[in-house]
Amino acid sequence: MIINNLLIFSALASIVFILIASDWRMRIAGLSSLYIVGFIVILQVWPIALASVKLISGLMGMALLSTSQLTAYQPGESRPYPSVIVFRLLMAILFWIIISAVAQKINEWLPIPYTNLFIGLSLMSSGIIIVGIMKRFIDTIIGLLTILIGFDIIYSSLEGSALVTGILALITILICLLSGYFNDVNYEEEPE
Amino acid sequence: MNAPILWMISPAVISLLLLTIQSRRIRNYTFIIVCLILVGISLFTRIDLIGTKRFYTFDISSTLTILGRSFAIFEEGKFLIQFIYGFNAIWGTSLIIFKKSERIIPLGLLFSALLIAAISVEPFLYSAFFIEIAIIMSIPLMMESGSKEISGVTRYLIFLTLSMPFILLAGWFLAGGEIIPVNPEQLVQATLLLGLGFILWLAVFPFHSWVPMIFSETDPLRSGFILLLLESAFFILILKFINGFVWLREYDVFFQASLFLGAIMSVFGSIGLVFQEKLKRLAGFELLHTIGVILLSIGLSPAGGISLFPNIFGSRILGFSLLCWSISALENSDNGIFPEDIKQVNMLSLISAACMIYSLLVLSGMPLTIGFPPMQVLYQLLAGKFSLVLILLLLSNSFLAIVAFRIIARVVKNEFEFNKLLIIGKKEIFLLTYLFLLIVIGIFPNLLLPKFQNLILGFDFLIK
Repeated sequence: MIINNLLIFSALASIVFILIASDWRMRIAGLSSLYIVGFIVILQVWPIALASVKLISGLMGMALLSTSQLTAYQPGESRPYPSVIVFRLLMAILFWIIISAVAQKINEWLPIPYTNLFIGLSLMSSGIIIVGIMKRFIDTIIGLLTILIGFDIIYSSLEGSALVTGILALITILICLLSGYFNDVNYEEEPE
Repeated sequence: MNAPILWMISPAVISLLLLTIQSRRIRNYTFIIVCLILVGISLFTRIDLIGTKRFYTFDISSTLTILGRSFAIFEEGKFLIQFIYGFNAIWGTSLIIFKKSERIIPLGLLFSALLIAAISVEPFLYSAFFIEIAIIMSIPLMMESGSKEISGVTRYLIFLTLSMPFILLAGWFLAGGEIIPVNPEQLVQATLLLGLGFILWLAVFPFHSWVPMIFSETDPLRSGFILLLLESAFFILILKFINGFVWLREYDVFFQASLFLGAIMSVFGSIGLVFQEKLKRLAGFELLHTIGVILLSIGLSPAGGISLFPNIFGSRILGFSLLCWSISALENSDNGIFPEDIKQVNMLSLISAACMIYSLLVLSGMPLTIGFPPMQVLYQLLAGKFSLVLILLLLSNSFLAIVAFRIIARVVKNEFEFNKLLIIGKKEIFLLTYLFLLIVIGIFPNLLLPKFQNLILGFDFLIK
């Protein structure tokens, strides 16, 4: 019980970190911690060999993301206004409240551990917030990866297959590679 | 040897090998030759042959098993293979002629192989994975590295990635439910999830914004190649879903939703066309209109069977290809003519404008074009039960015709410089040849359209 609560708390804390951090390094660190949380959650339902594929592919993806950002044009990331941070946090909290309210009902449809379902749905909704309100391509990638981690946690609890694990790992790495493809895009930052 | 190795793995490997060839000319010609060989082989092979074998045919098996999942290409699915690689060969030729081949050749083969993998994987709900990989790898095929305008492609990536979880979760719900749904409540949940996945795949309103944006951010030749193949694969997969689940094909709401969404998309796309001044975005709105019309043909399948779908699909693929080529030619014609409007006219822009006008007439279902016979059947079927949808479709096709006539008015208004009209190059010859073929097929539709019926041979439960 304590471990489950701790896992939920860690996942939500990582999302908060991604949402409020102004530096891409911090956001990627937050995403990496999400992969570690995801690994621990999946470890409860899968053997360590399969679960570690997800962790390794995720961390490889983070390395690719970081490498692409090191060589990328950086428009000079300014610290977001406090109102922006408050807006993002409130938005995420709103989604989590909704998920808390409906998770029990969804759990009747999807017979998986409640912790996995809650973390999975929270990550998916937070990913949607990230791709929805953040403008840079790297943030879109981070948002998509957050959605995919959330989905991975839910889907792993439903089905454990080597082919599916391999393909999902490949998708994660390919999405990270895309960030390098567009990394020197010169964004004109608009005040949010 | 088996079919998936031949038409799925070999093209993917050849595509990667071609990357190592430095000479663009050799790469281009090899791509076209490989596509034609793949089509040719499909004509002389029999998959899982039963009975006597002719001296010129050779027998291969249909199934390849990898990590507990199988990929199966059956005899009935061979037309799809011919269509995909034939499409690659024709579009590859156009890309070479228009000097835009550097990205799609050779990776177009890998992209096509991934789509075939998505269509042939069993259980077919896993197709969402291969579609996702194809989507990710299609982005470098469409866009230059470091492109500044990427809003459309970003939305494309987001929306189509979001569709994957919905399709996979629906698949889990439906596991074992091919014959009967597990219970009525699950039927609703699974239909909702599947529906959301399909809506995101097909860029149905309100998830449509990326289609015109992608066309405006990329060359219509590249985006046309990718999106036409991708949407074709989506429609085939949707038919496979309907054919595979008995409860889904008996669920009226699904077909009513197809009709409703199809009508919305065709009207929405054509309204976008009427108010559109930028040529490249025009192609995007026309794709939305085309998706709407094809959705209508699927929505009508309980009434008239699925036989209308291949005719509509075939005529629109032929018409839309001409539209993309003509827009690309206009965008890149000498003197920078036509990005916004026709100001000067040379031979290329004149032929391109003629092709564009003809393609719009084909897509609006004008008589004596290839678009007319299937559109007439569609009108006929809609008139029986769905008169409101018929009115909306007529309205949307009228808008398309208005756009075509407006372009005619613009072209006629311009001053012709006779000297420029005498120059004829490869692009002009390519466009004129295709235009001539399309006119001939329009007058004699039986030459080609019935061949597209082979597209639905495998869907036994949908043919009436």
